[in-house]
Amino acid sequence: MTLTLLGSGLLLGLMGSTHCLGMCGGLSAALGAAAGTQQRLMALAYNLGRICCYALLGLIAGGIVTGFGDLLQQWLPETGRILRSVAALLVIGMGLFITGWWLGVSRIETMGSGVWRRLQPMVRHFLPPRTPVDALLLGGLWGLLPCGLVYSSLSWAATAGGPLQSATLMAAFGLGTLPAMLVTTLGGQELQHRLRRPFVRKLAGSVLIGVGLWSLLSIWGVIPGHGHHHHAAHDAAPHSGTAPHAH
Amino acid sequence: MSEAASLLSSCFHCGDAVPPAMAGEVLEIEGREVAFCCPACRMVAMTIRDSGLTSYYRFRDERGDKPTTPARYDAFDQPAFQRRWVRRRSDGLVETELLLEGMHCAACIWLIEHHLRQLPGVREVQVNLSEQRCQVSWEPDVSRLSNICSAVAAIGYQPQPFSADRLEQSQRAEQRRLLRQLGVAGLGSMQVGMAAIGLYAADLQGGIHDSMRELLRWASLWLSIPIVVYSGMPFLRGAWRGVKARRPGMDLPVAVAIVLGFLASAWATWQGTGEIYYDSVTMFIFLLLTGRYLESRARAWSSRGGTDLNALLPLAATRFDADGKLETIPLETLRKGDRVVVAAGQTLPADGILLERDASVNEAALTGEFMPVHKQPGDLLTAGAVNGDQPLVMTVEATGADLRLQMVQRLARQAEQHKPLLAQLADRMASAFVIAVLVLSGLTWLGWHFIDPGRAFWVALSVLVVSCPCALGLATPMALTTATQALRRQGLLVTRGAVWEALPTITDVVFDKTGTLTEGRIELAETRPVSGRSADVCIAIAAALEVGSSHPIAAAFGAAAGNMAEQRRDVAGLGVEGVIAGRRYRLGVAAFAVNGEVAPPGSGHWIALAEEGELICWFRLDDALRRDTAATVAALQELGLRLHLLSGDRSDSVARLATELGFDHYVDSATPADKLAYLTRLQGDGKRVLMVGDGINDIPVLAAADVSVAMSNASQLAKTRADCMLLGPQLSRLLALLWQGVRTRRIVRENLAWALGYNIIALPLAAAGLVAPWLAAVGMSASSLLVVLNALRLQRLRLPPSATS
Repeated sequence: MTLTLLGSGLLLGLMGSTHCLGMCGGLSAALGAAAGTQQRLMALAYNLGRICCYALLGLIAGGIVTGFGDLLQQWLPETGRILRSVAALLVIGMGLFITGWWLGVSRIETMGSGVWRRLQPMVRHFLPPRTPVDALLLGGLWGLLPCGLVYSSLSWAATAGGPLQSATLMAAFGLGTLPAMLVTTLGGQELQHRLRRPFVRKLAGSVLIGVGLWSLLSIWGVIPGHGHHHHAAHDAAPHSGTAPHAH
Repeated sequence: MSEAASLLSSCFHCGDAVPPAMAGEVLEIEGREVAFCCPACRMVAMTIRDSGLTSYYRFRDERGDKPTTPARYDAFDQPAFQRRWVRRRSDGLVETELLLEGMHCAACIWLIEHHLRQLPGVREVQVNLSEQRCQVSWEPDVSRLSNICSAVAAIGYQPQPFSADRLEQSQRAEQRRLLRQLGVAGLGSMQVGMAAIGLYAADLQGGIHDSMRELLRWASLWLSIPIVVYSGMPFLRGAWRGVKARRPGMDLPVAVAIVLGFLASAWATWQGTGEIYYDSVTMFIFLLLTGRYLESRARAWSSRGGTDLNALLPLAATRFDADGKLETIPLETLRKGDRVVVAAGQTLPADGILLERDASVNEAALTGEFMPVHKQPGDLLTAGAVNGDQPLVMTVEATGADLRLQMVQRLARQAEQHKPLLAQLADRMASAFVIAVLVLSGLTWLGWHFIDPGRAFWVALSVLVVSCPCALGLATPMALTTATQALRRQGLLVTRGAVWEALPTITDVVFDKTGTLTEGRIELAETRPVSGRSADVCIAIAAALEVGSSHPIAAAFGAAAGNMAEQRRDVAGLGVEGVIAGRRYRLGVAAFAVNGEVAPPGSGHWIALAEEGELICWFRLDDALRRDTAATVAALQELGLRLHLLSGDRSDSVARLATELGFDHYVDSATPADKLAYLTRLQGDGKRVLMVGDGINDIPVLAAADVSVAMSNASQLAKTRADCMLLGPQLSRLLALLWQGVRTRRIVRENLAWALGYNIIALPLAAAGLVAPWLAAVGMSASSLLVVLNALRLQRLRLPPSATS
């Protein structure tokens, strides 16, 4: 079961990170270059900070959803399915955003802008990062940047069945974004241009849309998979029912 | 697009398009209003600005390098660009050569050629795969270069003006990329293979714990993703390109096999049950990439032989301006008629005529001849030659795309315009073949679906993989390209592709004498005036008669001191005549020049100068044999070829030379018509003739021969008519040419036989369900690889066994 969880997290991160390339990739490359000899260490620290931040977010979101979900469950038996459907829709939205077919999902990014405005002075303190510790903290704060990809992954993770599972999934998500981020930090601009070509983005976005659709269909029992569990709290990742050892 | 507009239409931070919803959310950065694609980008930019780090935006790589709007090709319509890269032809069309990135198979050629030919105004399109070069001509009133380039870009190939430098750069980049992709695929497929072996072994031993099994399957999935997405990219992209243009290429079945195999496995992994093919898919990618990498190496190797003569030219030239002062100007602005000064050791910027005093120039880049050539005022100078130790002054005759340098290059490229029939057929069949393969796989699946649904998928997958016609597509072009370039590097230019079909069938070789077997640098060995005139006066008269003649004899008399003969005409094979100061002079064969019988004063090659039919002087000319003539002739005879010597010379030297060298047949005093008749007679007897010649009077014969070779010192016209051209003085290259012809035919046949035989045997086996997908992948890739490697054997030029011993 953990394997499936890790798998879906990695997939989200890996496919979604074509989005990160433009947002953060170039920036982290620039900061990496500014750091000179410690470039690799700085890049690692920055990304470690980011991943930790995601895991923490997962933990919090998982806790909230599990707690309130159990409560709501008593009023509305379909709560688990609805929550997971929202997550799936967000993933589809993210896929649409990455392919460039529909950009509406970016509107949820504005939700977090208030938080970011308050965080900004702190971020500025670490810009540009001078030591690996700076980079680590910068990464931690950067993880809070209002980002549609993070939000949709978070919603997906929150329904994973418990705070720990959510945290695991978000950490896996962070790991999934790592290749793209490292490649651009250390590989520079040329590679970044390549990865951002429309073809790559369409491919990655399509995968996300596919995952989202599949999950949506299986939640509502259209295709075999799962969807027969009604307890959000005990229901693991949306696809857990398929693996023989999910429980 | 103006800069201000672009700041508002694409995201300032990441470069994506700005959606309407975000259009109002601008920020002010460094005094300019900029827009963003999403709130996140906007916030990041704000943070960066507020942190005082706007220099980051200046520091990061120019996004402007890669604009995607068609506007980028506007520069190609600028006059300065056009002068350098675009040639105006005599038929009113203009033509240029583009370097296209992203080509890798015969189907790409087909796609580009067909796509461009549909454009209004475009007349001819020729694409050369090994040099990634596209030669295109169009009507300047109807179309523009920028339109053509945009059209090329629209189907996914990046055009830029062709130069060997750029070619090499792009080839290096491609190879580095392929190597990286190969590395990922190699390492990954090894891991996936290990997992597959583990699963397989476990099945044999009665199964493993399910969680272990799950772990291996998931690990295989994750390991396969980078291989499919990154290493498989060339195939996916190639397939996509073909589909988009509705002209499926060889990549399509490959991509379909990869994607289907992977998706089916991913589905099975997700479901926790069902067959997985990660090992087959990743190995398929790895093996195909290996083939593609080798092919790319071979292509790069091949094209490196054709040095870019353009790159030899200097960037600037020094000319006299209107006031007679020296000024330095960019090469593009140099005009015909300019007087140019070339410093010692500098490269000549244009074709021209030497003024003032003698000079010595090195034309090695053009001819392969490493000795400096002596030039006198009035002599032609060629762009790309290097000036010797004295500054020289010249008048510009031709620049840019009209240079003789360019002619040589165009000739070199002509070869592919006349693709051998077999290669044309392969190009045309690619698309049909691909569709057939897809249909066949579909039918296989359907068939098996009724017999044994459980096996239907993998059997169809095997058929798809096994029947990919890559080897067939590579068989001929790879061999011809390699063979041509190997010769080119040895100083032998093959200018018509049809040569490869004729070469192995040659039975007879016909030589011209002067300039072919001999150096062709005829010198005046002796002057014997018979009337009262002095030797100097006679030489001056002869020189005046020969002005403007390209016959090798003309050079012996040097440049005319002053006057030039009027009404002068060449009488092919006999000599020249003309009027000087009202008197009619003839120079040439005694029977032509002099009325009545006269005997030459001794042995050797004597020509007569006569005034109104009255002999006034004898000249003895001397022309040394080329150093390697005797050895070459002997080796050709060893090969069983019949040799013929046809010479316009009348002297007994022809007979002597023929006996000395052991020629089977010789004819002296042959006029061009005689030569042609001789050749036609040979061909009438069923002989296949290779003709080697150099002069204007050889042109009809060169044209009629099955294969014709022009010597390096041949007249321009002779060179354009010949199938092959020696760039250096070595006659012995003929041996290499003939032998390369034989070897090339053999290798093409081997390749075709292998590719066809493989498909014929493998296809039924696969359809019968006897070939597992991994085996199909190995078989198909190995077959392509074999074809490429076999063709590469032509890289090394060999001499016939007899000539080496």
